[in-house]
Amino acid sequence: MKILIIDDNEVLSGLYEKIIAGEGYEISVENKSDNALERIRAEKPDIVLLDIMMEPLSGWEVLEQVRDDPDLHDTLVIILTGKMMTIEEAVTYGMQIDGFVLKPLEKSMLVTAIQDAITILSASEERYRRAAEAGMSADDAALCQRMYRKRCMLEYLKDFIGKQERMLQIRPGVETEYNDIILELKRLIERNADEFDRIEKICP
Amino acid sequence: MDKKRILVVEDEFVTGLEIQARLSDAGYDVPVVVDNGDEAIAKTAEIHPDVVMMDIVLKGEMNGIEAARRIREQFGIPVIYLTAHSDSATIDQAVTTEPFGYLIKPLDERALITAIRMALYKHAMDQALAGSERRYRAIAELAEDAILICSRDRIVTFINTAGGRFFHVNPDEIAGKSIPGLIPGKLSDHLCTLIDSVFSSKNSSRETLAGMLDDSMVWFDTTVIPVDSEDGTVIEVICHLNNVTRMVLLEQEIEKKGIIQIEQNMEQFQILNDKIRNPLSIIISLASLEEKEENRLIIEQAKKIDDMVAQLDKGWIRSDSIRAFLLKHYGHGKELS
Repeated sequence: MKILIIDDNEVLSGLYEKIIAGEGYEISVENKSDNALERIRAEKPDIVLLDIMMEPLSGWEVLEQVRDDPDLHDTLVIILTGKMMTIEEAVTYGMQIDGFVLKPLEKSMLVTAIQDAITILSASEERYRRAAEAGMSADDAALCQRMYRKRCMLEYLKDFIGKQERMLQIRPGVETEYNDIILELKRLIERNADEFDRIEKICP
Repeated sequence: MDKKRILVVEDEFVTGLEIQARLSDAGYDVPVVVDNGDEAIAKTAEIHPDVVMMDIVLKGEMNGIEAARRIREQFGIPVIYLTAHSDSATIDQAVTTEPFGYLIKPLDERALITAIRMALYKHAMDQALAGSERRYRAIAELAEDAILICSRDRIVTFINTAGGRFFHVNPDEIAGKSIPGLIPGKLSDHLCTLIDSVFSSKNSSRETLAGMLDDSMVWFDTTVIPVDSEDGTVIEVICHLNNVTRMVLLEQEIEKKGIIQIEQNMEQFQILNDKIRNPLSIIISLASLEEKEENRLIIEQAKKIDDMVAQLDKGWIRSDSIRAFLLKHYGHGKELS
């Protein structure tokens, strides 16, 4: 299992590297965000742990590069950052990431986060295998695999909306400036949920 | 009611006496008959008649038309001409003095009395109208806002002193000036559009007009109301322009400062947040490498700091919502990346 950390804080990424290596995973670190894409291309990691607040490219920009690359777009990306996700960011990037973890993390939490990512990864691969065995085409099987991964993210986003509404003290039926963007995120989730339900029916 | 007083100016002694007798019989006070223009003016000043009956041909150098003109100008008293001359040149000349009647000798008694009653009535109406107009002008002058009256073809027929000050025009010299001739550029375009809409809709309309005046931006809260004739057509409109420039500038300043402050705060929150969380992450990671009682305490304390940082997240999210609100309603400030 290959893991790549992209974080501009050298001390912290060094520590994470030590912890993760201690658990027996193959781990490498990239501190320069403008090198990130090349590094991912070279190492083909199974999991990328991506920081957001970086210069010159932000983590979101790195994510866009990865998703736009036909060879890398399926890479499992977990955001590991010190800044909460905004609702706008959730609308734009929510369905493009595979997890969002807020720093700081103690060793056990970091390890859990990685184990969770591995679980998602292997369960989705299992989905692919089952679909392929049932005689589905490679494309359809990949669809089943992706659907499983994104469904986990959907659950995270549903939970995220609830937290945001509590934080902004949004009450049902009361007009606020955030209603539009929250509604947009809710629609995004519904649209994807419907799509996934449809795919689920054809996947074994 | 007091008897109405009439001054008779007649060069023919007998005719004068006859008129005096007939009017006295009809209930008017006719204290004197004079036969020349100078005396007519002097007597008018002395007895303040309600009406002057004026022969056009008089003794002395001054004719009746000249005497009537002076009486009208000096005293504002209505004049009825009586004359044997009915040629059109004389009538034309007499008309320029705005007479209240014109009687041809020999006099018919009924026509004489009717002419006097009509002159009295018309004069009273004119006086009332002039009084009413003076009153409305006084009200318009009280206002510190610009008030102007405008016809369908955008000719300004009245502007108050405050309006004259705004647009640098003497209110007594606006005759024939149009809105575009009085008010510059965009401001005038907007006002003309508003005026045209009131003429066509027949309903009053209110809008804030913005434009350049004396090289600076100004805002006028403007109300235009129609003045209807009896058949319901709009004959003119009254425009009321309230200069709200200072208020608008102040509001803009407050909004701009408010948004800039919020954006600065948000940037601070974000930087602070990330800058605190990274060292905290390092402390917690280091402490979690080895399971010891001291490390457990370090993690516990570091998490307390992290809880405080989470409060900054809330502040950031709420500030973002206020910023979104201000941007939506006022459109100032810079977009955060």
